Amino acid sequence: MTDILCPVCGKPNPPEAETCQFCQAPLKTSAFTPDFDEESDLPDWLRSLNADQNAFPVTSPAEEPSNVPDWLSSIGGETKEKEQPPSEAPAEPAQEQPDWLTDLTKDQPVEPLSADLPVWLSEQAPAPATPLSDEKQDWTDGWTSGEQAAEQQAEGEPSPSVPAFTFDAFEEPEKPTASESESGDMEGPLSTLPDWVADVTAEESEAEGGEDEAALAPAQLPSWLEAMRPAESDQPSTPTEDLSGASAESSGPLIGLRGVLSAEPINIRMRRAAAYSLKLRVTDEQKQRVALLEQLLADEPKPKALPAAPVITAQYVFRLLIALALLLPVIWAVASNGRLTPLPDASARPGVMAMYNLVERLPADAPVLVAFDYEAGYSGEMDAAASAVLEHLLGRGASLALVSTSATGPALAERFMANLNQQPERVNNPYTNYANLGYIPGGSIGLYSLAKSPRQSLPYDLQGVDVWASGPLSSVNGIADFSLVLVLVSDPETARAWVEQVGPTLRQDGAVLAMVASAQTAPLVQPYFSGNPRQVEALISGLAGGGAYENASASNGPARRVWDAYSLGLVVSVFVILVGTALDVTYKALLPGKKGK
Amino acid sequence: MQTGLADIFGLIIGFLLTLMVLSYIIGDNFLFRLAMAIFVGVASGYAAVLVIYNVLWYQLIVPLLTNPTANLALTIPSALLGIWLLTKGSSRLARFGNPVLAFLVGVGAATAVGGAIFGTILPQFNASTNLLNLQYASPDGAGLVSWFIKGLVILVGTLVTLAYFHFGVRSQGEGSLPQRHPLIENFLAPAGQAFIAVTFGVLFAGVYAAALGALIDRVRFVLDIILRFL
Repeated sequence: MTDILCPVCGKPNPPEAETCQFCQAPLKTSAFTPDFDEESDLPDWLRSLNADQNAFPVTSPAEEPSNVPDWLSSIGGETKEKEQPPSEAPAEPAQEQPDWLTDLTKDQPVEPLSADLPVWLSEQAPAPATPLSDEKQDWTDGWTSGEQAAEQQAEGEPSPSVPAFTFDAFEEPEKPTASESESGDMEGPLSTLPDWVADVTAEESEAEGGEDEAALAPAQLPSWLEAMRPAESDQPSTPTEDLSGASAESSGPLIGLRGVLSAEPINIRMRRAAAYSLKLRVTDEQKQRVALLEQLLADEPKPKALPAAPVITAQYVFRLLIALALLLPVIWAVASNGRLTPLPDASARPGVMAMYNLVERLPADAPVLVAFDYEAGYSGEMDAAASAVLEHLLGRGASLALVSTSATGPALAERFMANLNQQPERVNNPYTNYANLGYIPGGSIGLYSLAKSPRQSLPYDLQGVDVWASGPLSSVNGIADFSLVLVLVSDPETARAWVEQVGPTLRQDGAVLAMVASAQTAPLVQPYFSGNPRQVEALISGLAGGGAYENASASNGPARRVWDAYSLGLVVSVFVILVGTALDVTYKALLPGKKGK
Repeated sequence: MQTGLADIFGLIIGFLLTLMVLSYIIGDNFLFRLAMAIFVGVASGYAAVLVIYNVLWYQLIVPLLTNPTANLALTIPSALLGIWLLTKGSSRLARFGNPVLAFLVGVGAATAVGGAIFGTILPQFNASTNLLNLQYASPDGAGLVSWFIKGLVILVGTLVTLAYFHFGVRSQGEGSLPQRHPLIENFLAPAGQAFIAVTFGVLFAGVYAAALGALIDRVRFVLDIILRFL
């Protein structure tokens, strides 16, 4: 048995198969029989062509072998030989048809070819000797299929109203032109039409196009072409994907198709930019927050009035009580001008005794350098502490050279000497053997310069007098030429500067440095006095030291006048401190929760 | 004692200013702030006058005028450096005064360091070593016990105070924090802390005594003025 080649896919199928087992295309419907009344109408070459169709395994019956001309039979034999594989036996002649072909021809109703060929076909008919090619075989298949369609119509089966093969098929909207057909773009049997047939088809379609198109319905397609439609004729053997929901391709060569990969990625596909509104959409809550922020910003620069502090508080009352506790005894003691408390014993104070002995050992008209290095606020204490010492010095006939590293020192020195001369016994005999040399600029550097050369550091006194040229200071060329350097100091740093800058020069030359220090400075100067050897030969500390010196010198100085007030004030202060401490301890003991606050 | 009109006005002004300052007892007020402003202004003006009159005139210009040959080498460089330092008053020319300022700072630092070494550290070190030196004791032996106790207290106080400021620690091995030496931590440092506390107490007492002396002086001044005009 010879297999039947599928007109669609060209694959062999068994003879009894009606549809292609590969593409499910109908095999027998592809037969084409020209719709001619009689075979006699056909030209010889066409009849021979029909006879040649019998050489191919088609489902439609062909012409009887006897009607096939020799040339056509020979061509058919050659064609068959071409289709045979090289390994097979040589092909038989065209007259020697195989059995299966004979059976087929017998089964098919033989219709005589009409001798009345159309004019166009007669004119276009080639010479009978022209060999048929494979393309011609294809279009003859169409003819045979048309014949089979006619038979089906005669048997009552539904058939298309038009022949199965028509040239109108080339006039589909998307069908290629004749030239494109020549290039082989068309697929299927019609794509292999020879050139002359294509030309005829084009002319016929132009002539009968309008009439045929009106008669043809778009859905009435040839059966073989209908069979090629996979959506209608082919049922997929395997489950297929439902592409109804897939998006259709909107651009590119695959436009309109669904379920295909897009030729243009989405991310590069041109599309109109999304439009965003420029108006900020703010919710009510956000508006409230914005309003609150604006209110805070508006209120920030406004000064907020501090809560009015109560005028009278416990702390305020307590401070007033302490002030009164201190002031009232002091006022009473000063106003009474009494001598209730004795002055401190000088013998119990080595510094005071050392000072007293120094002054006592000074020769007459001894040059003494006195530095007023304390601030005006300490004048009350320093005046009382140093008054007895300076009065003792002046009484011993010492010549004083007053200097100061403080800007207010020269004025304080003048005031100090004026207070000494205001004493009743000095009204008529004031102290005049002193020179106020003024201010030493430069701090420690100035002191160092003074220690090296007092004449160059302080050439004139405050009155512009050159005290070094004549008088008691004329013998002084260096700092060591002073018999005593007495520093009245209220600041520890200033005291240390004197010790560090002037002291070594004095000790080197055997001179003496002594100090009258404020009570707050004396503890820091004490090491210079207590050490061995002493850097400060004598030290008077505060009002108590001044009182001790007055006691030693038996003078009635300012220290004596304020000593009662001073003593009473210290007692009251100690009492206030003790009472305050006791109250604080008791308060914390009674209220443990307040502890630590 | 004759009292001039200026002295009377001075006393009255001093009296009023003293009361204005003492008004701080009832709290910060306008009178107190006014007195402070007056003091600052008067002190600044007085310092300016003093510098011009006492320093520039009598320590720079007058020596140059009276004996220019002897004082030229000293006064001219000082004057030039002083004028050069004025450039620090202008923000645009301030950088030109840096050399002079550097000279001042350098000389000041050298003076302070040299003075501290040779004026405080070495002499105090020497004095501490002689605290219990019998050579510095009383020749006749009077007060020897008190002298010894005094020297011993000063020596112990110095050592324990220095030990308190020794914050060096020693590793105690893996897993334990470094700690000070137990002797320092448990004995010397607390003793040093006690000495420091006593020192601060003495300083506070001195400050209070000085303030009390100033208060008594002002009270006495006020009463004296009141009694004088009464």
